[in-house]
Amino acid sequence: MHHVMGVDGSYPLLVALWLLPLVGAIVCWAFGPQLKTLSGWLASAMLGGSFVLAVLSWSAGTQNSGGALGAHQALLSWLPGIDFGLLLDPLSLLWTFIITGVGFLIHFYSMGYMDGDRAYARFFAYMNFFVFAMLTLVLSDNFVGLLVGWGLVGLASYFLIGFWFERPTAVAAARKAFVINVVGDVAIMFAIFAIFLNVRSMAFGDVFAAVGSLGSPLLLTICVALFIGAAAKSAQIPLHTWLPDAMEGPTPVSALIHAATMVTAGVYLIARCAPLWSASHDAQMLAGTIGAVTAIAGAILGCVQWDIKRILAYSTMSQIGYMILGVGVGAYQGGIAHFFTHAFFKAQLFLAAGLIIHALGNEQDVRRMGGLRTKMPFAFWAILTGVLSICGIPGFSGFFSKDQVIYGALAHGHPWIYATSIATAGLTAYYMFRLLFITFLGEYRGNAESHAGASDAHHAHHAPAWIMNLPVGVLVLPTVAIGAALMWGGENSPWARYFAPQFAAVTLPAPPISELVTSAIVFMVVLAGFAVAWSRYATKAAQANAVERLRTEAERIPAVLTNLFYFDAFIDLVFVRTAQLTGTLIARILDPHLIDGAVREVVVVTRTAGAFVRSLETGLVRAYALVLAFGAACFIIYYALVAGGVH
Amino acid sequence: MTIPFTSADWNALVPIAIVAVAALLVLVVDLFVRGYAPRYVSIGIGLIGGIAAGVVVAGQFGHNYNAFFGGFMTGGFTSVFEEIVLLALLGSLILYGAIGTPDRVAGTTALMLWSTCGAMLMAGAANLMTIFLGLELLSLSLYCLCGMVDRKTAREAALKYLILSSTATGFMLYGMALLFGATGSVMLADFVNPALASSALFWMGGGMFLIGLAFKLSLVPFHTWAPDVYEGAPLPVTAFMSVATKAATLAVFARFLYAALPSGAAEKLLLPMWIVAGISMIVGNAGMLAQHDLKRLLAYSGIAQAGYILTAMAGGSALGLRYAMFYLTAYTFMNLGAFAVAAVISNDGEQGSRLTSYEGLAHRRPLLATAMTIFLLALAGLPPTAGFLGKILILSSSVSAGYDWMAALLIAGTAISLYAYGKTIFAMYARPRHEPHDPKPCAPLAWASVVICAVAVIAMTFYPLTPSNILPLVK
Amino acid sequence: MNPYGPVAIYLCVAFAAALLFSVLPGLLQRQKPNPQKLEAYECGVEPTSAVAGRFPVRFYLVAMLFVIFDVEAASFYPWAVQMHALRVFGLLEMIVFIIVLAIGYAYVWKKGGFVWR
Repeated sequence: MHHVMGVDGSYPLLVALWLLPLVGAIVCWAFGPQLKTLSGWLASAMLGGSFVLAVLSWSAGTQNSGGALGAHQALLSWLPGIDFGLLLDPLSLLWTFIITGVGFLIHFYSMGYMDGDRAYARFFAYMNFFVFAMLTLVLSDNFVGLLVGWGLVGLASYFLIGFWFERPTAVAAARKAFVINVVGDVAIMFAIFAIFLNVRSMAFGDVFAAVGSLGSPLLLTICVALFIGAAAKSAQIPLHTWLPDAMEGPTPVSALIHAATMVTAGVYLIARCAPLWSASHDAQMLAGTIGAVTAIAGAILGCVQWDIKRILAYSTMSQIGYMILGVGVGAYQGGIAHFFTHAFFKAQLFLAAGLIIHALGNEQDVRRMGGLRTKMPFAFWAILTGVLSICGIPGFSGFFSKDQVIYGALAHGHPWIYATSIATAGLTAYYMFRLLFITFLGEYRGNAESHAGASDAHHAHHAPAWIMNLPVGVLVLPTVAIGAALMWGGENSPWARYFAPQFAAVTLPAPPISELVTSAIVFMVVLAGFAVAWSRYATKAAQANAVERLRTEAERIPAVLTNLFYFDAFIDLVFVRTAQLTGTLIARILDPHLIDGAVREVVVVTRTAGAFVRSLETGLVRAYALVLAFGAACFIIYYALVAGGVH
Repeated sequence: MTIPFTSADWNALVPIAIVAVAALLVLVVDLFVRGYAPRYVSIGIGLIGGIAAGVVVAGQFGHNYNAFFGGFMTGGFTSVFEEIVLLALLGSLILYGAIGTPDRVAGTTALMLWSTCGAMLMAGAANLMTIFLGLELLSLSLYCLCGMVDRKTAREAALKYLILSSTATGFMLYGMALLFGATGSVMLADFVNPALASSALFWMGGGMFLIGLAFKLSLVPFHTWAPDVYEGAPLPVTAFMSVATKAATLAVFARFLYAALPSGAAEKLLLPMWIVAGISMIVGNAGMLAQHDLKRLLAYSGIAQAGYILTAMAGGSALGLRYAMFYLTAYTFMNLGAFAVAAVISNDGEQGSRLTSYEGLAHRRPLLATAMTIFLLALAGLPPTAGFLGKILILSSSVSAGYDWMAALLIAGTAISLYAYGKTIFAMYARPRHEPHDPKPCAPLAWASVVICAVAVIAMTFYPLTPSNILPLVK
Repeated sequence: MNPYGPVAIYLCVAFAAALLFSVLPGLLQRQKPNPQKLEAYECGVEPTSAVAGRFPVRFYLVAMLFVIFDVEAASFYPWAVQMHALRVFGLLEMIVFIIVLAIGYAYVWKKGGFVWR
């Protein structure tokens, strides 16, 4: 396949890779009613096609230039300094793999999950559109294209969170996500303006080449603005509040957009702008700190949730905190590695949770589950592997990436971030095993008896079960083994060699605690978290009176945690109220009183003077004329003054 | 003494003559038909006339002709504005064909063609008399057009427009008289004389002339007529008015700004215009917030859009004019497109101008809702539409011309407007389904104009039409 | 002094005088009304109905059409004066003008503009 890439590095197949999902989206959207369930197959096929093209471009790249990928396809010359094009390098290819690969599995799964929904085709149109938007984001070779993709994924996310728009909560969640993301978009726009004014180009290459010429305050400003955008998209504190609410969307959406791909766009942005971040120590400090705070806050909040998807949502937030702190402090390979493994095990967890939710008739509260190990063994094993991986049990994929991040924080000289992330690992083990135990051990506590288990008679008309089970089964493999396969061997691992051309190795002084000792400490902490979860939820005593115990536990959660650290209240007070107040000011005071009021005043005055005004119409025309005359008078006075000046 | 009437005169006037003859033809055909001429005959003649004039204008692009002793000049600049006016004519004739009542078709079509003549005359007007002639031809026809339906609000709109517009015209005419008094000439080109900067008459005349233009552009505080008139007038007339009046007035303003001011006086003379443009961007966008009627919404939007276009010209840079013309072209498409969508909806038996008719549109007619979304996004200035690119260009030209405060007001106004446009878009998608109904087949031409406008609004983003040879042709 | 100064003074005096004459009698007069005093002055006639009575709108239409054609006809005079100078061109212009006017006239006629219903 070496001939697919042109001599100059241009690569037309990239365009096909990028546009296939868009074609799928348009066809599903326009011909949805005619296609019926075919739309699911079509959408999945488009993604499959994109994935195959991604693999082709990878092999072409490795054959062409000895491992170093570097394809670029120019698309369109726009305004001076702004040219659009697609860029394939190790970073964007990795994201493309996840977006199309995991995306394909989730599309496939959705054919089962969304079966029977009356907007089946619309769902796949949105999903394919999302993939197109995400590919635009990661494949763009310049900041403007990135921003376009950035905005479009926000739009797709909005559509998909609010997919079941009959539910007021879904609509509210969609709006919340959109508004918070727009805050991020505006910040990125600001950064882009700042970059353009100083560099006069939007291409990544030109901008990164000019890093040296940007002053340090300017660099910090740009990085902070970019980080606000990254934080909004990746649910970092204090812009994280939309993510748990976003679980109102269908579960495949949560798996694809709000776990595996879109929420990691912030990680991508920082990794993409690595030259900017590496040049600004303050920016690294900021990103590392926020990432660490988010990681531990997400983990703490995950401990007190009862909704299975919300637990996973907070765990996502926490894990993205890891990624952000990784790429933030400069451990780019570690942060990206965690994105990579997380995409698999979190998609796995969500899809497996979806199996349960689907089987129990949309029940999401873990207190009304329990004892599902025997009824749904497949889901149990799937979630168990996911839990082991996310906790970083040695040997599982999560172990390799998480320890890279934790050790990277220390190696780059951030002991506090290091300590925080170790504590987070313990909390992660606690809440994930808590989820596992409450859901699968003990007695069944729900009332959806007819749905529980595989009651084939009930689901006779539905899509066959293998459609949903197959993707989950496929995901088990990378969840367990991809870390060991790719990241084993430190500097000489395939992972490190793959990224070596993109992220130059920095020699750092050896930290006081070695990598091996770090892994040992993390493992001990994880064990401790597991032990606490075991003693609280898995022992005979705990299961004896589970319903009562879970209720009292829910009652005893401190207010600060049930209120989620008051972030929603804070945002409500600072942003929502302010915005509402401004709106009210314009709509209620400025408009009626200043503008209408002036008109009404005229009417009132003329009425009291006993003039001819009887009907509103005449009053208004007179008022209009009065405003006109007022404007004219202002003009004339101005020109009279100027004329007096020149005379 | 003999009057020289050369072929250059004729060349300059031939597009206008074509439109005028088409108008007469419409009336003549109506005369010889029992009862009323069929709708497609009158509108067909109008469309053919408009297209023929457009082809002639396009063929003349770049040639300089002038008529009336230099009172009417053509060239790239005039051609662009003439094409915009003709586009507005074609668009609104198509809308009229889709929703108009048969009994007034001939009269309405003829009046539309004549007002187009007036607007085209303004586009090339290079002396005060031609400007006034064009303006009155445009306005008088529009007064009648506003009242051309049997609706109380339409008559009210016509009367309001007549009264307020005459007031403004009075100012303008007085301004022209003073300008003539100051210069002894009606030719705009004679105003370049730097000695005029110290003439009090010139300042007062220029100022009052600008009041007239500000009224026609519906800039705050001369905007009060616009919402009522837009709402009351028939839909096609509103569509025509919102584009053609603006384009023609902007042509006059641009010629005044770029080709007719004594050096050094421009900044001081035009400052009030920039200020009212700035206020318009805020008040126009804020005014949209409380509207429940599409035509009123677009009236307020138009107030703000006029402000945007003036922002591009602030400082009088060559690039600014090109950007303004780019934005005006984009505005033509997005505005006509939005009105075309409203016409298609009216055809469904809904009240096309009520915003409630758009609730759940995406479920009833997804393609139409997509088109409307594109137009509203463009009006709001969001990517990937021409409105976005236009606003970026405007910002860059106004900042480089030193009018940062106008750029700031533009951004603030845009921020305010997002809510109003967003609300409308949201209503189309997120509101629950309306009660089931069967969409009627609509005039294919109306559909075609929706599609053409949508494609143009997107395409202009990627292939910016900024002819580099426009500015030298202005003088 | 500004050449327009006297104009300004004249304006002020005119306004002041008008104001004075309309306000002063009200202040100075002795208010003892009787029917004779309230009668119309000298040759005036007592109105028998409301002044703002209703007219047929046709009246305005006919009046307006009269004014329009009257004004159009007035355009002939300048041409007549300059006819020799303008030669054939002027003649053609005038013919075009008349044709346009005739079409308008015919149109008004056909549409019943002259019918008093």
